[in-house]
Amino acid sequence: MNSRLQKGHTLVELLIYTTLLVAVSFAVVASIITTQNYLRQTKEYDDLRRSGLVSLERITRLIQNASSVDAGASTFNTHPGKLVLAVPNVGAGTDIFEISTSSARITLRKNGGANEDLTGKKISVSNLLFRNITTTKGSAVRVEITLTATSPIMRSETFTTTAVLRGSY
Amino acid sequence: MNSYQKKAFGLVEVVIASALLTLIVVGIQVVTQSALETSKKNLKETKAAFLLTEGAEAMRILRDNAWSNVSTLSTSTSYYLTFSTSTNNWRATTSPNTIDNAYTRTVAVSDIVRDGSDNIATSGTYDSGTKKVSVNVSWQTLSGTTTKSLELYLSNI
Repeated sequence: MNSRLQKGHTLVELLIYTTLLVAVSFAVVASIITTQNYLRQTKEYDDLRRSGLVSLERITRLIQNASSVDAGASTFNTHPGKLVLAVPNVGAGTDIFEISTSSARITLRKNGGANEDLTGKKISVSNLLFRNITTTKGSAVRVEITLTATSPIMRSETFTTTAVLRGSY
Repeated sequence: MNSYQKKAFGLVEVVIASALLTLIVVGIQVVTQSALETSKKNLKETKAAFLLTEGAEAMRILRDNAWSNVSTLSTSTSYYLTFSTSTNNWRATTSPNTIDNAYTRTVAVSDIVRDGSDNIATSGTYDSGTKKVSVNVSWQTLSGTTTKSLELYLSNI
């Protein structure tokens, strides 16, 4: 009698044990997958933000320090845009900065040197647009950048700003 | 009897262990979720910061085209900025617009007065050649509306 009772109880125990284990493993695995997805999305947002911030900040500062825009060498109002700026050097003379796109990245070139990437490896530039603003007193440039990331979800973000050429007055 | 007791204890252990495991895993999930929300928020703020400085630069452009573009703006009205792609220039308007389907940018102009030594003061004589401009960018977040502001002085040059 005692032995039968004991055996019955062990079977129920075993059932509860297995059910619980299966349920918990499902919940845990689901949670780990969700967590992983959240982490990848966080990285995607950070990549977009960093590339947007670094490239647009750099471009804005160059425009603000520039004395003039080389309208002939630049491409305005259309993607892929190109901006050629003359920036007075602290020492003497003028540096020529060229901002354009290459293999879906925003690149910067100083005095015809090597291209420097302003956007990250996992980011592709789907729009780089410059607009040349001419005022009575000087000039300004409006910049529009659209960055696209594809992993884990396709996502596009647009960064826009305008900068006045402080050296153009 | 001894073996029966041992097995019963084994079940409780399993329950506690799985509860702990679930708690840890769900805890990590909650933390990563808030990290995701923060990075979404950061992205929006970065974009807003650029729009804010653009507002200030646009007002400078209005001033550079003609001082009357700034001086004739009413000090009791909020204006919106629009960029015309046909003339490639900025314009202040009273009709509201939304940027990137998320941001609202307004600019407001106020008069300034100068004291005896020509410094900007709270009381003194009205200066028609200088205006104070404040730029506001606001957008919706989970916790309501967020606003970023910037103030600058523009002079007739």
